[in-house]
Amino acid sequence: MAASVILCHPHDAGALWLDQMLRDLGVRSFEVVTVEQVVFSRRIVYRLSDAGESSSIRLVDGRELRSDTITGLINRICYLPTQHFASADPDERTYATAELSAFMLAWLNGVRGRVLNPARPFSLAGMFDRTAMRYYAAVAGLPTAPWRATDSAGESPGLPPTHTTIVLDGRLFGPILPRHLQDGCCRLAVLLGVPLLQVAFQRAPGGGWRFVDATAFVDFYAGGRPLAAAIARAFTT
Amino acid sequence: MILVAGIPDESPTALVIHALEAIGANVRVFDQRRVSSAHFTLDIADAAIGGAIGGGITLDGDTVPLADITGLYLRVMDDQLLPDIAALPPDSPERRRCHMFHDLLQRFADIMPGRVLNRPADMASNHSKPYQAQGISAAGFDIPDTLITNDPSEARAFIEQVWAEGGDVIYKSVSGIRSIVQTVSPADLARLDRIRWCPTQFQRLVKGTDIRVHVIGQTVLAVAISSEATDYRYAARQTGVDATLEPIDLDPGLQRLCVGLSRRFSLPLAGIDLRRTLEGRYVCFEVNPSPAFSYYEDRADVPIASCIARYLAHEAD
Repeated sequence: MAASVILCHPHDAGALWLDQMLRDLGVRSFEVVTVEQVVFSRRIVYRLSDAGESSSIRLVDGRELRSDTITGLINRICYLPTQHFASADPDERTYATAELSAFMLAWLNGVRGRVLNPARPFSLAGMFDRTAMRYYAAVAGLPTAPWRATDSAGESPGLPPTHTTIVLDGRLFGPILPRHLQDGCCRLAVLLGVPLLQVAFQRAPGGGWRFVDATAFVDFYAGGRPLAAAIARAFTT
Repeated sequence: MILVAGIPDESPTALVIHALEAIGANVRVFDQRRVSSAHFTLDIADAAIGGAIGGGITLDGDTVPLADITGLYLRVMDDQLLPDIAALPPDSPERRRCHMFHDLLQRFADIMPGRVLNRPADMASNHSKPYQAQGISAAGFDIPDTLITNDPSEARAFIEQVWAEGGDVIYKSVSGIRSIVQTVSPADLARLDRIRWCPTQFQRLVKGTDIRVHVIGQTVLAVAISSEATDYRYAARQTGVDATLEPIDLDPGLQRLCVGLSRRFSLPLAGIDLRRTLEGRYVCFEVNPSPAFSYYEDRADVPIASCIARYLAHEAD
């Protein structure tokens, strides 16, 4: 198969919505592959040498994921399925899960085309720790509230969001926000090094805005058809 | 002020504390075994003051403002394996508090300004050897021929091809767990069916001289190792003869490659495993973000701890 891959879990409604929307837009170059199909593959072959790297993963439905034919990838990994290790003893299960995770990181990192969002060594989904997210949001100039965490009492409670926007390659999708928030969201995406980022805010009854949270795991539906079209362009230009 | 976090009498940590004291640095030590008497508060100010980091770490009743910490040496063990904590019930409040303490320490280490050896998010690259190998290759080093597969026939074909060419094959973990290197023997072929459960890593054995390079900021310290063992760290166990180590000077070009490699992974402290082949090529296997450098410092008399101390104290780049 020569295509861009939407790599997601079977119950990822947002990814499946995006796939359908891309088809509605006439984009035929994406294929949905589940994380489970990759992890449970009976034939994974990955080679790495001074000459470069190559990989081949045969899926149970007969398709083959080859590194030289994947033109891009939308990464929606939330967790590694490990049901096939369920009967192993806990130490072996921990070891096998770490091995699988290590392989998946390299495989994702080796995709030659564009990946939204790239996997990171600390998160296959490319997610960031919430503290770092909050810190960089403040550095980006977004209206964060003071935050405290202690070893005994935990973290300051979060705010419920009222507005969500999505950044893709410096463009915003979703509700129209004040200009300074738009600029701050784009700066945050740059600081975090993620091209695709969802940022949530709370708007108080008096009109003031507060940063609530940000995630690399975006709700495509919230960005609607314009976001789907922009994603299609991001993989063709 | 420089904070050292870990087990103070564990060799690398002890050497760093001693070296910091020797240069007169203002150093405080968080002993993980005394976590029950320690507390951590992490504050992030609002955007109006740029998200300034505040809070403090309380050690034996004395609170150190986090804003005063200009350097951090982090070599912590899994907090849940600390003897006093491991003995507690899984849902005990003290176990949860201990875990939160360590979690906050690591989150602070990821965002604090100043010098950190090393930031936890950056250390994670060592959890995947092939991920590191991709970066090592991009940095300009040679890497060994590698196959990761769960298909026994592919593994067999790789092994038999290397054998036919007169070489040997080793297998080792893909992740950072259980990373003892073993040579594939003919008897192992009968066990290859076991790899069906999980992709397993095989590599063509690279023959030559092991070289361990420690990069500390811009400083490069190298040690050559002589051993007949597949994994020289376990030479006494594998061959009955311990490895011998001696300091060496690397040529400037190779030193630059090593510094560039540590920068690529954002690891100002890195233990780089090289092998100089019989043809004079340098093959790189791994970049260790939390090197147990005392093994090399003790046996080859290289001043790694001193360089770490000077880096943390801003006395060296």
